[in-house]
Amino acid sequence: MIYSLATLLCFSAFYAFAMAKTSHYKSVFGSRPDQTQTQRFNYSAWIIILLSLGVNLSQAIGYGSLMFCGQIALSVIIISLCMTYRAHWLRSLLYVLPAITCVLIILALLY
Amino acid sequence: MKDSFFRSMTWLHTWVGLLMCWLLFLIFFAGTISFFRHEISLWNQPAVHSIDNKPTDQKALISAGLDYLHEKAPEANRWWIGLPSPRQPEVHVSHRHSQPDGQRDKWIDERLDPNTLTQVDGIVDTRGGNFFYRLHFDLHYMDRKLARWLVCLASLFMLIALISGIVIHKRIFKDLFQFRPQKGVRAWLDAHNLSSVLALPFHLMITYTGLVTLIFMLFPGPANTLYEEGVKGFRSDFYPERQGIEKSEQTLNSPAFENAFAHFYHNWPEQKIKRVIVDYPTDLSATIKIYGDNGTLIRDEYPYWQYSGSTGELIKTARLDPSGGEVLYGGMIAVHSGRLAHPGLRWLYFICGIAGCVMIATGCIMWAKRIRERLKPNQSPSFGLKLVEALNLGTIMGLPLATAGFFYANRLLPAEVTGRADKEILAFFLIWLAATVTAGLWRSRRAWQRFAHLNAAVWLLLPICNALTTDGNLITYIMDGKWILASFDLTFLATAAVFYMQGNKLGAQPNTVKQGSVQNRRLGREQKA
Repeated sequence: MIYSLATLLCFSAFYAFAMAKTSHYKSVFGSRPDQTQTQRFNYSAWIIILLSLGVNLSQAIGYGSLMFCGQIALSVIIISLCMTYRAHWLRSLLYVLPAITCVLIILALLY
Repeated sequence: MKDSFFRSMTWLHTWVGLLMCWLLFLIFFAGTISFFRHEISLWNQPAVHSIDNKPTDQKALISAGLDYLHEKAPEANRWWIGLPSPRQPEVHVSHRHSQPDGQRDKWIDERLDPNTLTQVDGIVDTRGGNFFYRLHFDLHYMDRKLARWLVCLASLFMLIALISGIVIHKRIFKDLFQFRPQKGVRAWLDAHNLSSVLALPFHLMITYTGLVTLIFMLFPGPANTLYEEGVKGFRSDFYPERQGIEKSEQTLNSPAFENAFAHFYHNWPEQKIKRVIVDYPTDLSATIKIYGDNGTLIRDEYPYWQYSGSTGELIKTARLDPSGGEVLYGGMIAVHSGRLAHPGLRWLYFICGIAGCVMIATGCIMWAKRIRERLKPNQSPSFGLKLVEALNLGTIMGLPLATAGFFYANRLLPAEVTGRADKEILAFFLIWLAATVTAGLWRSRRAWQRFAHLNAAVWLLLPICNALTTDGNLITYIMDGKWILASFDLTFLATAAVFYMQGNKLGAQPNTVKQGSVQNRRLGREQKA
C-alpha cells in the first residue's frame, strides 16, 4: 500500500515536470501555459518527488531507494508514451491524480 | 584524437558503444530475463505447477528432507535441501555421488511436495532460468574464464559509453518525455535518449555493480597483498563454507541432526533457513551446513552456521555480524542480482532491463541508419555497414525468437530424451544462428518486418502450446490464483502484441533502405551521364 502511494506520488511528480514544459503542456491542453502555471508545476513536481522519495525511504533505506529508481523509470515510460500517442488522456489526470492520491493516503492511514 | 572535448566524447561514445553492442545486448537481455530466473525454472517444470504455495513449517520440511535423503541416498557424498519460497513452491532434495576414475561428481535432483511430503513425479531435465543466468556472464559454449573477461570488458565499455553519453547528449534532461516517431533517424535518437534517461540510475548501478561482481578478477591486487595465497586465500577467508572437508573413511551410523538443529533453533529462533547441506552424511567427518535467509535485506551472501555431523556441536559461523566491507561488497552484488526483490520491485527491475536493451538496440540501429544516410548516390554500402546491419537484425530480432524457441523446446521435447536440458539450449542457439544467417543474406526493412511478424506469431502461440501440453492455461491460472504462471502467459501475449505493432509500423512506411539505395544509384547514373 505504501509503495503504491509512493509510485503514485512519483508518477504525479513527473506529470508535473512534463506539464511545466511549454510544448508538452500545449500538446495536452491545447494552449500555452503562463509563467505562473509553469512555476507552480515545477515547484509542485519537486515537492511531490521529494515526498515520494521520503515515503520510499520511510519503509527501508536501501530497498526504498531501489523502488524509487524503478518508479522513476515506470513514470517516465508511461508519461512519454501517453504524450506521444494519447496526449489528451493526460488532461483528465490533472484532477484524477490528486483524487486517487487522497484516497490512497486515507487507505494507507486506515490499514 | 579529436580537436575538442565534446567531439572526442562523441567519438568515444560511438565507437565504445558500437564495438561491443551485440555482446552487451546479449548480456543485458539474458540478465533482464534472469531477474525471473526461479519463475522460469518453475514454468519449465509443469510437474510442480499443481503444488499449492502456502507457508509451511520449515522444521518439518527439513526433517522430512533429511529422512528422505537418508533412505534414498545414504551413500551420497553431499545432500542438499532447498526450502520453498514464494518463488519456488517445492522442496529441492538433491544428492551428489562420487564417480570412478576421477570423473566429476554426479548430481541427482529430486523434488518433494511440501504439503504431502512425497516425491513429485514427472520432473523433466531442464536448466530453466539458470540457463539465462549463466548465459549472462558465462556466455555458454565458451571457456568460463575467457567469457568472464569478455563480459568484464563489455561492462567497462558500457560504463564508458554511459558516462560519455551523459556528456554528449546535453539536452537529455531537457528533452525528457520527448519521443517523435515520425521524425526518421531523429526518432531513433529520441528513443535512445529516452530509454537511457528514464532508467539512468539503474543503468549506472547495474553496470557498476556488474563490474564489482567480478572485481577480484579485474583487480586481484588488494587480495594478493593481504593474503599469502592471493585471491584463493581471500576466498577461503570470505567463504569458509566452500572449503573442502577431509573424509575420515569411518562410518557414522546416526548423524546428530537433532542436536545440531536443537542448538540452532534455541539460539536463533527467528532465523529463516534458505538451505541445508550435509557433507559426507554417513562418514564420521559429516558436516551440517545451515544457510540463513536474507529476506529483503540488501545482502548477497547468506549467514552461515556449520555443525559437526557426529556430535551436533557448532563448529563455525560466518557473516552473522558482517563488517563494513562485507556489507558494501555484498550489498552491491545484492542490488545487481535483485534476489532481494519482491514481485513489485522485480517487475521494475525487468522494465529497467528492457529499457537497457532498447537503449543498446537503438544505439546500434542509429549508427547503421546514419552511415546509410551519408552514402553518396553512386556509393554501395561497405562491408562494415552490411555486417553491422546483419548483426543488428540477427541479434535484436533473433534473440527474442531464440528465447521463444527455448520455451517451445521445453514444452515439446519428450521427457525421456537423453540430455534433454542440453537440447533445449541447443534449440536456443540453433534458432539464433539461423536468424543471424538469414539476417546476413536478407537485411532490408522487409526482413525486419518479417522477423517482427514471426516473433509476434511464435510468442502468441506460446500460451496455446503451454495449454495443449500441460494441465493448466491462462484461465485456470487466474482462477486458481497462480499469478506467476498467469503472468508468463500475459507477458507472452504482450510481447506478441509489441512485435505485431512493430511489424505493422514497419509495413506502413516505405522501404527506405532499398528504395533509398535504388534512388541513390539512379541519381548517380544520371549525374554520370
